[in-house]
Amino acid sequence: MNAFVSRHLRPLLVLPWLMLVSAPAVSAGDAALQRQAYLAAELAAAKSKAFYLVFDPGAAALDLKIEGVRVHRFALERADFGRTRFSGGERRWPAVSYTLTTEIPEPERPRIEVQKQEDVDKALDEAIKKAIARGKKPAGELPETAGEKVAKQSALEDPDAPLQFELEFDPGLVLVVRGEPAAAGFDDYMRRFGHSLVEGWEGLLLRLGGHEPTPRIVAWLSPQDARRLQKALAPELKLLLYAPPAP
Amino acid sequence: MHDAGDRRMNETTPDDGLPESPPPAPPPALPRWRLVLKRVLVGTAAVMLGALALAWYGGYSYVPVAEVAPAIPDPAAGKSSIKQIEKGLAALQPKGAYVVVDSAENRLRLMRRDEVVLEAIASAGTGAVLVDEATGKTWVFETPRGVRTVLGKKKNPCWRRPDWDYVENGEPLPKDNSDRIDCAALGKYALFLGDGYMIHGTLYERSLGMSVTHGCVRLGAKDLETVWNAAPVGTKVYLY
Repeated sequence: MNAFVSRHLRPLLVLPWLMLVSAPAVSAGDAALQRQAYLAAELAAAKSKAFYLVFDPGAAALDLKIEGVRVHRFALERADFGRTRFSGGERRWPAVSYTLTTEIPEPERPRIEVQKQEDVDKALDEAIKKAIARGKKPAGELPETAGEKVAKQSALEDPDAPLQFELEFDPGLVLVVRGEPAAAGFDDYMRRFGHSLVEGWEGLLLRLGGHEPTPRIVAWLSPQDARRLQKALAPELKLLLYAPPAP
Repeated sequence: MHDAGDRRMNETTPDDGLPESPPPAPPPALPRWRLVLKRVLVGTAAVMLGALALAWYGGYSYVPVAEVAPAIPDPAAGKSSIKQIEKGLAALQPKGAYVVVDSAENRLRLMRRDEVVLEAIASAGTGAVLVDEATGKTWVFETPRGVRTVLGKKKNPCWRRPDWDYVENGEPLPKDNSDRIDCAALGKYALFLGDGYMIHGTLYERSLGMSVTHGCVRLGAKDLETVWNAAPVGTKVYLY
């Protein structure tokens, strides 16, 4: 029995030890390569003096950066990586650095109403002008400005209204931004169910048309942050995949 | 004998002499409208189930992003060492204080390294458009995005009212340029960012926190003084 153990089982006992010794060495090397690729991409993006995004899968966060300085962190409620059920093989990020290919539409701009002179309180206007001419702050309540009128109009829009948009990046990655409150009620679940149905049909149609649907990240964040992200978009915006320092 | 008797009892043949039982009545026919409704409902359910099955089949399966394997980097892509690249990135970072302006939320942050020195309520551009009907000239009042530098600073600044201010207020353009000077509108300090954009004070502190400006960044008097003291010429200003 002892002879059997020493001849057949001893090599098996060595196997876990070998795995322990070799695995960290390989993964540390890979991690260093990942880190180097990420940093090289970040340095190029930082030198461009344009905004870029850094996606950190570990922290589920999307950072808006410029010149290597993080100006805003979009905290993601949830972020999932998806690919169609047809796709086989390993789930792997397609690349370290991506370039936005989606065209950014020009925002709808409110128009400023030119003030009519007959609406101006002449006495108040004179008093203000006199104070300003003396370099003094005018006394009393100042009349509403054109900017304040525009801001009041914009404030009527609901900042919590859900906002969803898709951004296509090269090489093949789609970032689906879902600015919606956390799924709490029936309506939210139904909306999410609706999203997955539409995605499914789109994927199927693409497949039938001979195209392979690209992998996608679906990121859930607050409607306010989704609006902020939409405003920060610029043509050919870079999206980088963060790689932490090697252990 | 006993078995044979039982078998006989269970048999119902005409030979038993019993009267023939009538054939079972066919089930009553459904009214036509109920038949149509039934077919419509079954059809709708089948279509819906089919659509759901297709959506599932063509759809995406998701996993949390943390579970996805990292991309395979191109070994030839990066020739510099990690330390060299990190050094290059560090060289781009501002050495002293810097300013971050969030136009969407109307906030200004004064930063030093990664620490927030001051978070102030500001006012950024409306993003609105003004059209001069007489000349057809158009202005867009938006705070610029990107990186700028404090190019100059002025205490007790005076503002030379541009044409758009007259157009917006429905006033005629002054004949004398000296009439354009307004020494109250900008508050006590102005930090110049180029192209006419500034960080300055305001007579309208009531509208801080709202997007009301023509592109400049307005601050309250106290916050403006803090930024004035902390941000020398050359300070980086990041606007998004």
